[in-house]
Amino acid sequence: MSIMGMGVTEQDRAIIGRILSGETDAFRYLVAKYKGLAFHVVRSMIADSSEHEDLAQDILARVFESLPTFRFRCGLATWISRIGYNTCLNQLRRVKSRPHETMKYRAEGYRVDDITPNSGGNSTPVESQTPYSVICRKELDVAVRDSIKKLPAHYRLVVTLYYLESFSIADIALSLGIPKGTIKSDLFRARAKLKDDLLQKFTIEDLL
Amino acid sequence: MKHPTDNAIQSYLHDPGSPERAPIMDHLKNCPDCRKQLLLYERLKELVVSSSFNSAPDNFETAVMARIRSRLQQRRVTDIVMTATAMIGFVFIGLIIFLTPQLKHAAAEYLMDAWQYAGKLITITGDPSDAAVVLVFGVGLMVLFGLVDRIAIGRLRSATSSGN
Repeated sequence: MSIMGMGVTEQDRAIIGRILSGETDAFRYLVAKYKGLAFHVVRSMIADSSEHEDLAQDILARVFESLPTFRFRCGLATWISRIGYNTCLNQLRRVKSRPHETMKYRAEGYRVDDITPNSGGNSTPVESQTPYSVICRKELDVAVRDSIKKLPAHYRLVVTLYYLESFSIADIALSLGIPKGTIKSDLFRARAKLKDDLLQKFTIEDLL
Repeated sequence: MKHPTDNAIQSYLHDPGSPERAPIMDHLKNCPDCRKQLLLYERLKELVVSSSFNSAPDNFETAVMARIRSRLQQRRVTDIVMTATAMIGFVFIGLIIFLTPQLKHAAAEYLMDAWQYAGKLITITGDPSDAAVVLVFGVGLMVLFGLVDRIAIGRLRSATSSGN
């Protein structure tokens, strides 16, 4: 599910109010709404897939703990992605201080077999496709995932927030604490790399 | 025919209506190769979205709520332990002072001196504001120690919560 970066919906405001007044269980609604965002940030930044679920849980638990400090100055999704970004950075620093784990992180990377293809509304329904087109589609999906995986972690995060979470460049800049111009040029470079990598595997006509 | 740069094509994608992009638009109308590049950039979003994964396992919400409850519980326990430790510490120090004659006398003398000094300040200057300064300074020190303690406890809490 993609979540617009800016603004806090009235429903989110009401839920935050209930949580802050002591109704802890109301946070379940925010978990359901923003779990995709937490996973997207974690998957963009952390290569070891065995850590993803734990870190995504950690991000949302930190969001719960930090809710009293949320001042509604930016979108809730932007704020959550910032917490996610900082949580992942802390994790990377911890791993860096333990060399044997750094090796593990480098060696594992994304494991495509571990990942369930998206069954969300954005993909074409499988029933309306021929077996051949389904295979081609899967091949293309794997290639795109592979190309995203090859991007530097920072580019991967920018592309993920821009495409999968529909964040604006301004929202990404706010989330990562980086100037808008830098994010824009990072996005351009990431897209160019992605395009070039895909064009090494497919013709432009196959991709269009 | 000079083709626009890759950056120019991407800029056009972000802001096609801008007057600065007019020459690029004219070029795109007549150049099928550059048009394909632009279309591919437009298509990238669809490709990335469709290749994305199902994000979370089914029981994810339950797991997060369990983690939050566990942390809240942990925080309550930490608060109780910290309060109990502080109280035991105070009682322990009090007992040591009470049971050690030298310390008891030293503490009594110190308190007496402090009290007499405050009294002297009032009698010498005839102005109780000097004693008030001593009092305010003492309270200020207590607040400062309280703040340091609060920050230390806060850090301890965040360290215990991030340790999960």
